Amino acid sequence: MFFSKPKEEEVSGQLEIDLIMSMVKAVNKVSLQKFELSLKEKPKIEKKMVVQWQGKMKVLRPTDCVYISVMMIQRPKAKDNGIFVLYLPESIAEMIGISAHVTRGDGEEGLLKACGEFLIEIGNYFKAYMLKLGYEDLQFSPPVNFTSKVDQLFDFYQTTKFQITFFRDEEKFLEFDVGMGPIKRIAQPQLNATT
Amino acid sequence: MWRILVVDDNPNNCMLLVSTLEDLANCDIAENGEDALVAYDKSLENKNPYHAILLDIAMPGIDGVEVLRRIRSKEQQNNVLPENAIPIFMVTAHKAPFMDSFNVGCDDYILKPIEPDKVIAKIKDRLDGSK
Repeated sequence: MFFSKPKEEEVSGQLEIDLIMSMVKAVNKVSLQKFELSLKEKPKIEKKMVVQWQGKMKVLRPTDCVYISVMMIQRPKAKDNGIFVLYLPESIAEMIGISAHVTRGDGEEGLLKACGEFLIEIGNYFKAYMLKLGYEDLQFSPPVNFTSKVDQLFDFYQTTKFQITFFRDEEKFLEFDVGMGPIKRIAQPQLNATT
Repeated sequence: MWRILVVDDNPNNCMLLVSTLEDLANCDIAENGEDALVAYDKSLENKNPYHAILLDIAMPGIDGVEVLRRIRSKEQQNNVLPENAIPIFMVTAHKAPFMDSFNVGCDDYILKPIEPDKVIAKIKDRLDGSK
């Protein structure tokens, strides 16, 4: 049995641009509000291939990031679905933990929860910016938080994503994967012609 | 009212943008990149700078990305801090130069055909935030 290769389906160009620009604004806003950090360096934006496994997106951590939070996005009316993946270096995750009053006693779970809450804050600003631009039906899943020890699969079926890397004093502050595409069908199995 | 420079070699696009922004801004029009740079320089000389520039990309002569590059380079020479740089919105039919434009320093990117509400929302958000 063979599987047909998933075909790239794209959302409108403007939506793709608005996703990126709103994400940049949201991260800048939360950094300023939470840490009084003005991220003056321009984030780096790259279009990258999604690593897929069994048709799903496999989230692999960058080597310099330890904590990962993921939220799925949906636009039910437009029938689009998307993903945010937040990759945090250890030092930044600790900074988030301190701001959320996470103590050593809370262990890694406490820090992971704080990272997820940080992603929700970014998501809320992102949603507000997108709402201003007329994207009304944006919905988020609760965050899934994990460390780099285990790779995880997510229901995001596009073949490309945007990677946005934010810097502070020329060092990586955090990294985001952002992607969206039409809700789709997992690749349909094709019968072998000889069977 | 804000002062906005609209740069596009297609007069119909210029008029559409000017009418979209009529309640928000007094707009000047430049029909090519050279005129845009002259208008930008003159506004600084007259100490009456624009609050924003809407910049087409595909134009004969100096294209929009090059205009953007030259303005950002002038700002750098004049030690203008990034937060005080003039907001520049690329308004174009082409999605491909988005990352180039972003890396050179555009503030936002609007694809044609223009959706008036979206243009207004983006400009208001950026300019209100800079007050």
